[in-house]
Amino acid sequence: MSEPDFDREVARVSEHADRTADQARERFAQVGRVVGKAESGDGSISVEVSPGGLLSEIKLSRSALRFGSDAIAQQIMDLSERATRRAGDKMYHTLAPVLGDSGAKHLQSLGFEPMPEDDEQHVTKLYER
Amino acid sequence: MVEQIPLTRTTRQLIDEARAREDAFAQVEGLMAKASGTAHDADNIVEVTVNARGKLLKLWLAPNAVNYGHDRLGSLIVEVAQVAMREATQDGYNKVALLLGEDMTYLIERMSGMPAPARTANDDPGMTVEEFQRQRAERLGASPAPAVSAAPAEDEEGYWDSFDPASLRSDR
Repeated sequence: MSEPDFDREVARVSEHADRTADQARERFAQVGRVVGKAESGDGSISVEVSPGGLLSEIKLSRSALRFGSDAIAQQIMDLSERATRRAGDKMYHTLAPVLGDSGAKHLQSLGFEPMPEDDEQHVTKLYER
Repeated sequence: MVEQIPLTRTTRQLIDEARAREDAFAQVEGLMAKASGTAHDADNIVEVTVNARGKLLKLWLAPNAVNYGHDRLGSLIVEVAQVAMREATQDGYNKVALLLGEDMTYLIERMSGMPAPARTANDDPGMTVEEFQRQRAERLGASPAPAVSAAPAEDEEGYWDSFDPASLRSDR
């Protein structure tokens, strides 16, 4: 029985990984910075997050402060939840074509999931309100 | 044929070990998902809790946060969230290290490209053993021992030459 050719196998796997990384880089170059954004109905609070949900920007207008601390905190929580789902959706659509089926499943396990279409419409409605 | 028996055993052991390692690795994701970190600013205006991916889990703003200025409050929350994420990352690695040990955790940190914050050179090293012992003595109501400044580093070798293990206290 012939020995499995480990060197060739390792080379094959690493070549595949390099190719995937190149494709992913190209996708990111096309899409630009992947972030999720959400804004309150009156536009007084807007939130931007990185994929995964880390806050990268919060803009508060002067008028937002009149709601009081608790209401502002709650609003930021809600908006960041929505922005995180959007960033996950964008991440999924950026990387899923490059990673194939098994990779796409892995993206979902990391929380990068496509948003159901009706959900997106609902969010868009809230966003535009 | 007889010669093959030990080989078979070794293979089986290897497979068992590989499976055990695989099981342990499978738990890493779950452990990282459970990790969280909390941080607040120096004035206690903002407190943020996030998970290891940075997702906001809890946000508390002091009643006087509204006096902080609308333009500054937003960036303060973002900054505190970033510190909280460092805490969450460390919390995750601490949990993973308990499961897989230090070497394997270091390997995961290198593979993920996200080193544990505690490894960075400027991380808070915590307190020295001497400082801990001094504070403990104080807590226990003993006469306060003099504060120990930096450890005497000038004659470390001489110290170890004359070190007598019997001088160590035992609680047993």
